[in-house]
Amino acid sequence: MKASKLALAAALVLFGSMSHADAYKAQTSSPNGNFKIDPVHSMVEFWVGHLGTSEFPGRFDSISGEFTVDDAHPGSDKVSVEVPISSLDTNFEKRNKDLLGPDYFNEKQFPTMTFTSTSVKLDKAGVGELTGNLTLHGVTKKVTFSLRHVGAGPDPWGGYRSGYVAKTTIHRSDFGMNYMLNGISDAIEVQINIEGKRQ
Amino acid sequence: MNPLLLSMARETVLWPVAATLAAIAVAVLLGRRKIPFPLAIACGFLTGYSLVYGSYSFPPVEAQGWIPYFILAALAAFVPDDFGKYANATRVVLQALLATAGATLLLHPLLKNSLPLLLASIVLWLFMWFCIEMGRGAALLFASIGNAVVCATTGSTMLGQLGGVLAAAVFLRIAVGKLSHAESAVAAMILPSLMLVGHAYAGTMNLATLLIVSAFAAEPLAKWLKKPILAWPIAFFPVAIAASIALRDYLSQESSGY
Repeated sequence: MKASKLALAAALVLFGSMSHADAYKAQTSSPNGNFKIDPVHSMVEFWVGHLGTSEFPGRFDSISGEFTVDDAHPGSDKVSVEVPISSLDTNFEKRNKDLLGPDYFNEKQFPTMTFTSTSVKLDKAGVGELTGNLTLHGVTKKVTFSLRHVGAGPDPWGGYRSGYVAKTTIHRSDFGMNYMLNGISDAIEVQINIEGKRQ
Repeated sequence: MNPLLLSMARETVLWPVAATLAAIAVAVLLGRRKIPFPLAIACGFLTGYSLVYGSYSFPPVEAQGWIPYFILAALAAFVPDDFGKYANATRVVLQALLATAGATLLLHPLLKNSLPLLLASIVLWLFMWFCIEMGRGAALLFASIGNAVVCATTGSTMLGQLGGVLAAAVFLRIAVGKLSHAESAVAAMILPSLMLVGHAYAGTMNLATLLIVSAFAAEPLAKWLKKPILAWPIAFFPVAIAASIALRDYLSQESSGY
């Protein structure tokens, strides 16, 4: 009897923890609407090769912009994003200063990075491609991201949110950042996490 | 030696020195000492510039991309001075035009907020040219070395490399003899440009930069004392202080080799 009570208690604890683990689910409401990017829940991250021995991350903490989604007219979907270069953070002040200087981003001369979409393609599973013009370091190039819609639905404060993850690899030399290509990789992985609040 | 450091040494010293030597050798072989010499510092610097930065787009995308065009402008304006003789007033007017155009183009992206910096830059630029023109290269050499150290340690490794390129070319050239008017003009376009770009875009240490500029006072001071040799120790002193405080700042950081 005592053993069966113990087993029941253990089962309840286990079940309880499992139910907590399953509590988080992507919301699957409509992604349609005009959304303003929520900078608190959005970020640009990148990974760059260092001396051929590692890949270290960096990020831009500030981001602004908007996106529009309309299932009925997919061709009209659009995204525009603006990132202040000064919000760069690689978790080391001296490196941040070097990256913001003329060797790399040259933030004083090119204070913002912008992306404006020219094409958004998503299948019914919310996976697809985002193509557009990326302006970085004074150079504008066409870039294609792989795109995934994470979810959409109401938030606890009466608003309505929708979010995406976009990933790509760019080459910094394409944007005129050619310094020390033998020590810092040319190819840079970029991931943009965007959460928008419907307007 | 580490391959990355080796590559930087080749770009900053070896190839610029080879190009400077080649230009000097051509001058000597042609037996026309004065005429091709203006190309010595220009050849050495542009060789290093091509290897380190390498952008020749026009108009340049970044401020430092103007430097090759400044060199061409200085040569165009002052090579005739090496053939004949400009009046002093002509030299001052030409250099004032070059300094004003140079500072304006370098600061153009920031011009809204940097009018006082622009005016100060033009004045200091002219001061440096005046001192280079009257001296035998002491202030120019030490200032070039000091600027390379200050830029590399407190601002931008790339600008530090370009400063090193200039120092290497200047070192070889002044070992051969006094700079001509055109060479002084070329050097007086490169060094202030590097210092201004470092200050405005890379945030190099202000105190160290001002100390380097002050080193140029060694030339008129030594002339006033009628002992030109004194220009060397007088110019060395502020540059040594500037390099020391920049190095101390660099070494005090958490990691010097991230």
